[in-house]
Amino acid sequence: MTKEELAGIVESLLLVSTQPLTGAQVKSAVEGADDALIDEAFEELQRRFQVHSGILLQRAAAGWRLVTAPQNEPPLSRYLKMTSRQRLSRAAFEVLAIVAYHQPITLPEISAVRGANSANAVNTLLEKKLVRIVGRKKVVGKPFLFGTSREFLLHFGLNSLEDLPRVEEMDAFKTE
Amino acid sequence: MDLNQDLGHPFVVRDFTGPLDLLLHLIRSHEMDIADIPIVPLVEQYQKYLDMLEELNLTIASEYLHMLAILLSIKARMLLPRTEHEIADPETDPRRDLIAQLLDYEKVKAAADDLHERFSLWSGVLGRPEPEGEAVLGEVSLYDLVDAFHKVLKSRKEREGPAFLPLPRPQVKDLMAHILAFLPRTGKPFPLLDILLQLKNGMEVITAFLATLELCRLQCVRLKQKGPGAEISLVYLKEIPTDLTFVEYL
Repeated sequence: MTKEELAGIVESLLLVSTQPLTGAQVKSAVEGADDALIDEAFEELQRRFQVHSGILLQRAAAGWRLVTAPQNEPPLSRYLKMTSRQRLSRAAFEVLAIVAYHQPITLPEISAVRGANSANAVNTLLEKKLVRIVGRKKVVGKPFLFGTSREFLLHFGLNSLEDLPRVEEMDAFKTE
Repeated sequence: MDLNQDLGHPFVVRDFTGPLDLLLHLIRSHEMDIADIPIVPLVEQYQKYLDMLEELNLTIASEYLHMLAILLSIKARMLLPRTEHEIADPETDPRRDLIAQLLDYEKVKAAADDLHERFSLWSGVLGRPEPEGEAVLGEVSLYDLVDAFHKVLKSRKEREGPAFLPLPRPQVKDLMAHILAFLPRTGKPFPLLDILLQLKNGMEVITAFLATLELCRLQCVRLKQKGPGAEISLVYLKEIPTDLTFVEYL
């Protein structure tokens, strides 16, 4: 099988998949496709879509998905009759940053870093499904532990948490 | 620069996300050194800002007052004489914790700005929509319930023939038992409409509405619905407590 043939198959798979398509999924669907060839096929497709104007092949949440080009948002939102684009407060972004870099983390820990009560911001993020409850901390009161969700990766165009830019470690989280 | 001079309107009223955000703004706008914060002018500026909020009749969140208390306590400790040995030891600097917190918070802000940028870039991008799939049984709002009963009342009106005899007034208590008797004890959802359509008249339907609310309140049943506008089902939870005293509404 050539790279071009596989790219064609992958393109079809992408069209019908509503979740990010992973290399493993391609492998189980296509006989005789090995990892290296699959990677090449995805890259080949990405090149092809780059010359397209309306569709991009985006690497997100450990897979690949077809998405609309960012510049086409205004006509799309009119066509889909979408209400105004999702907005997040500055506080919500701060909380999201703390959760993204230090998950799992509890609400009191988040509030301590920000020096401000963060319950509202956490609730907003939970509602928008950018943050989820990942468990409970085994301390007095068993507070919820929060982490980022798959939607977070999708909405922020991240393949995995490793794609987040490195930041200097915070004092409050340095391990002794 | 002279921090004590009256700057007229030295502050822009903007939306600070918390006291640390405000402190950082003050430190930056007055070009203070974050590693060696001049605590006296900082407290002064901070207090001025809170005073101004008060003048504008804005509520000051308690965390701002908490921070003011911390600042004042640091200021007080800074006034105490310190030995040369103590001055040389950064561990004993009263500002140490605050500076560490501010530096951490600065990193959070930078990361938050970065996320904001990513978000503006990617949130306008649409993927293929997730399939509708198996609808999860969701919560039912009061309006859905009112709607369902309204539908039944309407269909009843059309079917109701001329009625002349005064009917016995249905009792909420009786309707509750009546509704509960329909429900499978296995906890399988039972369509509410199937119960309602067997009722004799509008009065009974209205009473059944109250009875359903009462059953929910007593947590004898739970209401489920597959989605907006979909059929409402009842799930059996427990029997009506026997020691209840009923207030009849009608």
